[in-house]
Amino acid sequence: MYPNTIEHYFAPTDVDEVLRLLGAYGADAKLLAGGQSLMPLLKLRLAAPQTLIDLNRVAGLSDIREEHGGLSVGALARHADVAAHPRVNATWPLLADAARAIGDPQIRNRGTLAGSLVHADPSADYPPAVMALHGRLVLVKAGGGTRTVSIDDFLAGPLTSTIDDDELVTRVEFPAPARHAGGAYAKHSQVAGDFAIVSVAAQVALDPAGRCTDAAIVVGGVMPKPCRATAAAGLLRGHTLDAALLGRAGEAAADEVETDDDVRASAAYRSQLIRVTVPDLLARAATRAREGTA
Amino acid sequence: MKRDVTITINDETYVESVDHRLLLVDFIREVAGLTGTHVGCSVEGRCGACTVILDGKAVKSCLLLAVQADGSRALTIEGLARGDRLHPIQDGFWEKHGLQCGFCTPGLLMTLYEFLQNPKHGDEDIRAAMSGVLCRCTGYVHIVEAVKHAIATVEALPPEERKHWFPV
Repeated sequence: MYPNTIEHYFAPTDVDEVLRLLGAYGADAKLLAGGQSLMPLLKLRLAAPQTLIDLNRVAGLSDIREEHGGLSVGALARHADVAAHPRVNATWPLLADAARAIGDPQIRNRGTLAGSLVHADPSADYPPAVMALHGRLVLVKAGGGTRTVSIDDFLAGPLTSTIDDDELVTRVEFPAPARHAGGAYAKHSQVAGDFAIVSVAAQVALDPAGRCTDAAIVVGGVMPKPCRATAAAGLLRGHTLDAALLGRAGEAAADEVETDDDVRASAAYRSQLIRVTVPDLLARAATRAREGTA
Repeated sequence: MKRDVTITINDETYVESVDHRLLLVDFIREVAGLTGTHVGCSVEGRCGACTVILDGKAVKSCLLLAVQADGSRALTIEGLARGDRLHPIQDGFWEKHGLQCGFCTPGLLMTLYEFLQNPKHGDEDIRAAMSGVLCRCTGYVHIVEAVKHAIATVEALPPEERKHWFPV
């Protein structure tokens, strides 16, 4: 299968040039990052842009670095780079889990963090992980201007994010975790490397006595976008995370997250997966928090 | 609509004016005439038969445009053997019967080429490494054996010769 005719192809080498091109062609243009979602869309002709702006040669967007204790990931960082990064594994293991869960080795060699977030597939691995870590996207606009937007405000619905036609995501930033914090991500899918039927991202922080001071639970694979299980997370604060409490958090998450039927799974099956997976992921997150990975 | 590109494949450099929408896999097959790289699913990149090494990384060449590879260096299955000596991963497939119909084999060999540069030894690791290529004949068991054979071969090589088999 072949993409429709592409009138213009540009391969700019710096952000200013990308913005100039977005100013000139924005409405008819698509930004091409890793291409692991966009290329199939082009071949299926679900997208047929006149102009492709290839970001892969833009300098300064691929690095992963710590900034003021937080993490700053360039828009073009590949999944394989995030998965292998020692500091990401040590301090933001939830993000490394999600990167490792995506697709297969070839896809992880190409796909990018920002590309996945802009694409906003409700069953993708990064969106719930970035939500649980309170990630923020840095966007620059043609004609000038920079804004920072939380992932919750950025994701609008299935395959829809709030990026404007003339904007570019340059970085994704994560705050420094608490002193004893840890997280984990896992998904259920039909075959290896597939999209999630249900995925769970869990991040917890503990005080020195092992009581939970903060928790985030995000469920992916549900419509219209990943959902925060805030009632379930609320049960945990101030308490020691024993098996009974984690079980109750799983029940609460299954109650509060709405699920739907589709070709891959029934709503009831999804709810059951949430019920049993949330406790597992919380336990893994708590173990990492206790090990003081941060 | 068209753009001049220069792509080096297996040490041969190809210069051609191509449509923006030409896929890298079709540049390899139609422009360079190297039909060892296969096209299977042709849409979503699920099958992995078109996997090649591009600038040192295994990629699905049906999910890249040829214009994106301008200035790049690719390695395809035709570039694995040296004269009549099979590459260690090819030798592993030969010794352990790692193929039946052979359609997916080019994709598997190129994916595993990257894995073999820094291999892990567990069955699960090997299976994860080949999860991006679908094989409908073998049931994968013989392929896992072939990879183990190749790992043993590669790890027994002196560093110089090891480098010789992994030029990119």
